[in-house]
Amino acid sequence: MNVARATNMTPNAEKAPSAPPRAAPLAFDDQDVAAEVRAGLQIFLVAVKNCALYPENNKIRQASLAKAQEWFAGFLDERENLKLFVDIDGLLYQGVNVLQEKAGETNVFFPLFRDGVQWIEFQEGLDAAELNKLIELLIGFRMLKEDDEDDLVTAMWGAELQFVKYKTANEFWEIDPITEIASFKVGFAAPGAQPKTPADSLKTMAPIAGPGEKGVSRGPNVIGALFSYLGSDSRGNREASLMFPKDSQLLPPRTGLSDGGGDREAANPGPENYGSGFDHGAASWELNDSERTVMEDLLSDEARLSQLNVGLDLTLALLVERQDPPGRALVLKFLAEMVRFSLAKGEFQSIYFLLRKFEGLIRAAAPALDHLRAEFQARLSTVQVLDGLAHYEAKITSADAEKLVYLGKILNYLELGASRALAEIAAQIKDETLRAQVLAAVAARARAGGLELALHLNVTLAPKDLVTIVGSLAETDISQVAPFLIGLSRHVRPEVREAAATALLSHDTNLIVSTPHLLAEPESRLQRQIYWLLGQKRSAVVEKAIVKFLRNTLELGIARPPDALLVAYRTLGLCAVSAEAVNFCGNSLLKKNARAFFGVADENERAHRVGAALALIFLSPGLGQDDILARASKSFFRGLKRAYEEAKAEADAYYRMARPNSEPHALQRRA
Amino acid sequence: MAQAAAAAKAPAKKVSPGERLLHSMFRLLQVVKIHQANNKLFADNVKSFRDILMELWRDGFGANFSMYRGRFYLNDERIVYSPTMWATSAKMTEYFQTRGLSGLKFLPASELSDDAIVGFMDVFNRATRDTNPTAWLRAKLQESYPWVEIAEEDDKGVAVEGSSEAVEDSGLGRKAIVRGVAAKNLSYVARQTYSQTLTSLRSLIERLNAGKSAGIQKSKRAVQELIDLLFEDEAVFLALSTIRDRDDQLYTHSVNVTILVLGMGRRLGLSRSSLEQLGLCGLFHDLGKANNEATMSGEKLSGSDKDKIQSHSLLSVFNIIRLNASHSLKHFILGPAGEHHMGMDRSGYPKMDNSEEPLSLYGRVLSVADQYNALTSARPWRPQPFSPHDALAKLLDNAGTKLDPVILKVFVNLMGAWPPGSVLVLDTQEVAMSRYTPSDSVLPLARLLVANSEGTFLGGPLIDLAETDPATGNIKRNVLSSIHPSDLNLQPVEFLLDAH
Repeated sequence: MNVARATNMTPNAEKAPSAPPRAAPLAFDDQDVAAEVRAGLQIFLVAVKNCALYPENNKIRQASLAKAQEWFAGFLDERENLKLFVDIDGLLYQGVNVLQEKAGETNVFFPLFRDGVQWIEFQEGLDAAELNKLIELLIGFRMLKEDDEDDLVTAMWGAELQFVKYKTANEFWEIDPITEIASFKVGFAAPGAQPKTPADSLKTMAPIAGPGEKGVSRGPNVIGALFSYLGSDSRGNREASLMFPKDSQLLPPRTGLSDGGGDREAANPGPENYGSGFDHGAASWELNDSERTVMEDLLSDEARLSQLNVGLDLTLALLVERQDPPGRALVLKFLAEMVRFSLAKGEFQSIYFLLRKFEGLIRAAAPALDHLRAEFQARLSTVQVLDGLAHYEAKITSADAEKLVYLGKILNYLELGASRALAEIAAQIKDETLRAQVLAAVAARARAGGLELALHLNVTLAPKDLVTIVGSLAETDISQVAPFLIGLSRHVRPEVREAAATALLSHDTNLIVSTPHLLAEPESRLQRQIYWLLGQKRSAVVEKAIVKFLRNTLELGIARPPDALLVAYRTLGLCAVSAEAVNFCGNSLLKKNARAFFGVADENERAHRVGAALALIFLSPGLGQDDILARASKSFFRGLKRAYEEAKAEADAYYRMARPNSEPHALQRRA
Repeated sequence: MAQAAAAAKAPAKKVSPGERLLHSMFRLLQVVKIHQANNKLFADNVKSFRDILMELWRDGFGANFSMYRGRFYLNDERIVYSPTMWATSAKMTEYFQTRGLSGLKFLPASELSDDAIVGFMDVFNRATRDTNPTAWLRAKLQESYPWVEIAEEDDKGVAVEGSSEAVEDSGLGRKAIVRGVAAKNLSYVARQTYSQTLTSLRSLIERLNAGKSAGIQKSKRAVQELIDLLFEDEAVFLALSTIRDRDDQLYTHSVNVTILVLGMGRRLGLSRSSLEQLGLCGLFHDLGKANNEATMSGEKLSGSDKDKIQSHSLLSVFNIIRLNASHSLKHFILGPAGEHHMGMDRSGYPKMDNSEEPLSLYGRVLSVADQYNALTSARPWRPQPFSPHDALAKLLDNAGTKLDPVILKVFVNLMGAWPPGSVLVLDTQEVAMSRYTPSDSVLPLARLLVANSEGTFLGGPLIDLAETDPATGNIKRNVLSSIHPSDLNLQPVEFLLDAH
């Protein structure tokens, strides 16, 4: 029983091709070829899978690509092309299934089917590069979302494959009936009028008369009527204008006119006042040499033009035009994207001009658009935008000095809170010079960022970058960035701690109060550096801090290297100004116990005694330390006496090493 | 908030009956396997399937549900579905293949009980247990389910006229390449491409107006197809630019401008990828008119309406920014869209007093194409459009001021002095329609228009207006004048596209 077609068919719909007649069994040759194709496709599949798994320079990937290309070269050399029809779950060659895979996104060739490719043909000349390109596309478009910009077909088109041809059906995802162009209405009739045939149209044109005729012409003589209409007085001027349009001399001459056109020159005197180089005499409107040059310049300018320049003014104008916040937000987002892309291309000058124009716009409209400044700065100060810098691949050379100046201005424009984003980006930038510039921008925000920023950077940036940042702060008022440096002084790496500590303590040793952890610095060289800085001048604050540190060490029995303890005590002596140090050191030195008597104190206790004596030796005179030292020097307690003697020897050695221009108070000898 | 409200009001996406049938049948096949009849899901799916069949049987005809090479057809019309349906489609293909089916016919029935539907699905599921599933299923259907039949294969393979697939070797040795069919194919392809470009723009604008994300994949495909057509046959390609629809001032205009800019772009030597960008510029240049009542009304404009019109350029820029596309592409195409009414002398709009940048190349190309198409299109307030020839003259008036003179020259070179679609009155008392001016000639190829007894015109033979009389060396036919095809109520493409 035949089923009549339902009436929901749309015109020009794609009709179902009838099922093909059953194929005759293949001849022996064809079976061999089909088998060969099957084998080749398996090699190709392996290449695709390896390309998906491995990076470009991987040997396995390269080897499988080479093998696939070799197979194709061999096959195509013999047969010129390989045309495969695409099915939902595989490929057909000459009607025979040569590849069967489960339909769906895991099927390598499924994207071809999905995006409407009916067949794909590989042609002789296919090389490894093009094969690789095709594979990248198959992998890249394995999955597709509805709003993706490209699908496999548009991407293949864009890739301009030379030796891979394909045919698609124009398939879209929704039913789109073909629009009947014949149903379009061409012109406008008077209101209420019925559509006219050409003859009808001619009826309304009066008077009309064919050549040698009177009255209205109809039917077969419509052409005559048309002529009359065109020649009629009511539209006589029209005829004149049609035959000789306003600037008809610009048009190619009509040759062979029986009504005489005169010579070509007269017919084409050429108008004046057009663009220079505009050639009016050419018979065929081809561009002359100067026009070609103009065009080539335009084309190459277009290619060179910074993307940022094109459309920027329009986008900024849009910012003023849009009154709705979401609209403005969208425009700002777009502008920020512009910046991102331009950063990636190193178009720093263009970005700078964008910012200038933006600022100009805000000021001109002030105060109405003032809030947009903060919003825009906030957008620019994100990793999403600044990420463009991480993608800038060219090496910065000495010729790029001006570029860096512009970059500096851009980075200064960012909001204070941009430091985190900048730090994150800096870590990804390969070029040293560029990275240093970004780090300088981070440093510039150290004051605002403070301790929190420093702690964040401690885990974000490499130690050498942090050292660079500290270096950038050399010209800064350290008191403004002290919290930041304090944060850095806690870094796990000694070089960072050193840079921070040096910057801090060189500025003001009293800052040791905020960085007491430095007193316990484990790395010996850095510890000596820190204490050397602390000992550069006398300070009650430093004295107090060191006393507290040493007291805690003593009372809690914290074991520290003896050398470190000596350094601490010596520094105490060099910086102390009050009796507090004297009292503490005196107590430490003169503490009597059995071990002191017999001189058998453990290393820690001994170090404290020696250190205490050393500190007393280095103290400024007149603090009462002389008596304590005298008692120690004559004590019957061997430990005490020995401590004094060791301290004296240590002091002597220090004096010998001291730089000639050290402060006198640091070098006072004690007998 | 406004966008959310607009989105809420937007109409639900249409799903075709075919897609619904496919989906429903698949679900029911699964449900019948798993659930009991008293399950709500079960009942819902049965009802859904019945409703679809009843809808298809509404006019008293059956529904032919067939499968060919992994694609499904409902009554010979291919079922097109969203990507989310691929898995379903693949599964159903497998079901049909394992049962040896090329299709099922659902015959009209006045009533269809739940038991009948469930029974059919159960039988369908069980068919693979037999050694000959097709025969087993056929027998079961004949015995108990007269409203379903297995569709027999049709051995009569027919080359479908107008379909490019007809001339392809499907891999089974049939080659049916006929010159006429191939020629008609190009005409068919051209119309199809134009239609799909229109549709892609329409659906994109609908989505923008509904506040939804609007992707450009379809538009890209459409522009690429246009470029392929341009490279294949420039005459056919340019013929499409003559299409006019007085009821639509936005979509056909945008597509026509796309065609014209692509034609110029090729003459300028742009690469394919640049052509693609230029084409998208053309297609999207008037996106700002989409939700602009003043521009859509077509009425003569008052002062405030003029402001609205002039804002469309910037609105086009805004709508381009809204597109779901890569930033670099949007950046390329928004400039020309904003510039196309500015004029080289910046006397147009929008006013950009502080801008120092010269008009971009694409902007200049777009200006020429836009003005030409506007001049040659009828408007309610200007029912008499300029003839193509007059429009060229009008453009030349603006050369060096609003329009780039060199670009204009390229355009004239492309279109010829008598652009495609011009109705030419000849001194031989004939009327012809200009088709295409070859690059080595100044006079076009044209199609004679032959009047019939009903007062309409039919397309006659192709003539070459550059043809000379061998005896005298004079041009055989001279053009006396040209008029706009709408003066004769003619749609030029109907005469130009089949002129092979």
